[in-house]
Amino acid sequence: MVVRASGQKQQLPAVVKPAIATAVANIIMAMPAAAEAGKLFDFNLTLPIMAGEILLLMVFLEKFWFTPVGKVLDERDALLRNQLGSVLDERDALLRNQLGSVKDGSSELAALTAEAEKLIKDARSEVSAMVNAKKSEKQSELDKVYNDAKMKVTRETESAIAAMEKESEGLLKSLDAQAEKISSEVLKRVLPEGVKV
Amino acid sequence: MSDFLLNPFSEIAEVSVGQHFYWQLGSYEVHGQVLLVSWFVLAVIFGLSFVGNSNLKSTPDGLQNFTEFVTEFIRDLAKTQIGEEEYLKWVPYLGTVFLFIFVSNWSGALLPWALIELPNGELAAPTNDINTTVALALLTSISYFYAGIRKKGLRYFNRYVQPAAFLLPINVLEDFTKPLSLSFRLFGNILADELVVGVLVSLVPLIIPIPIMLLGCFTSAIQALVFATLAGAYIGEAVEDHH
Repeated sequence: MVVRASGQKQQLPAVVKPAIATAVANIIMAMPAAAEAGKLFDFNLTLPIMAGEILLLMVFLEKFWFTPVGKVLDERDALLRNQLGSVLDERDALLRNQLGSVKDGSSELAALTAEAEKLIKDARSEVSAMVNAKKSEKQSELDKVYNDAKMKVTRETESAIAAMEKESEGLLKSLDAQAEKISSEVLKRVLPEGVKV
Repeated sequence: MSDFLLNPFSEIAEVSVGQHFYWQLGSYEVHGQVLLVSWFVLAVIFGLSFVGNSNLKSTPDGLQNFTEFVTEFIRDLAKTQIGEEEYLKWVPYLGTVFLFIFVSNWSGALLPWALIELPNGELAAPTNDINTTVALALLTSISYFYAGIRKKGLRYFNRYVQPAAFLLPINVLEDFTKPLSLSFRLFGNILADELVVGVLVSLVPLIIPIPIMLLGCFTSAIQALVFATLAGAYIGEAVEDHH
């Protein structure tokens, strides 16, 4: 398959048709006019040699370029993935910790609330105890006063009653004596002298 | 032509199409200029690999950044084209194809090879020789056949009668058009680019060709990407499961 390229000589000026005459002349000067007719499609041993060179290059590049560099790329990829994963894990752990501490805070809060409630309750109970104590103290004081007064009144009443009873006894006694006297007087007047009762 | 019309830059702006620097290898001929530049390309890639990958660290520095970038780029490309399960096996092949074509194209586009004079022909990107591109395309064909047969055994050939038996001729034809289109696309693009730059430089040697040269750098990179992507797509097509 050998195609003569001498046809190029006639074709090229057509490519540069708009160029001026000098240009055309220059092109013709530049063309390999004097050389033997060139062969564009000149297949020969160059083809298998080139194929061999390319295969050689492929073997070389596989060994020294694409395999080792690809390995480095893959390793870096894996490393980055790992680091990213561990960083994410760390972040998750951190978040979880923080969430936990937030939960702890809520329990602390509950404890504090309970403590406060207890304090309030204690204070309240203390106050109420104090109030009760005062109340009972006053009550007992009042009771004492009341009892004393009552006792005094009772005693006075009793003594008064006793005095009255004594008086009424004396009165009765004197009444008896008077009645006896009166009756003996009556009898003396009624009955003849000399009659003994 | 009169002498004053002679472009003083015509020496370095000379465009030689289809001129080869023949070496005789026994009874065979080879294109010396292609082999020379291809050895240079291999040396550049070997050097890059040695400098970049001799001391790989988990925290990259220097050229390791570059080699890692290339590796990831090729892996992404392979994963997109071939699929999650099989792609790692094909990263070296696609990476080799990409790097070889890329470095070849850019060495052709950026380096002033014309300063080194050869008895015949001129040094240029190895990819502007049909031998190189056909070698790459044939390797790709072999690769996808190998990938398909390895994955599916003889069932691989079922795909010639998929989705219907009458498509058999078209499916068989595809196996020829694939390497053909791969090789000619690369060859044509790179050769055309060098020709356009050469012609423009011979017309106006300064400033004006720069946009075309930049476009050439862009095209060169795109062609490397296209070749690697299509090779990956063909391999992916061969290993994909039909139901």
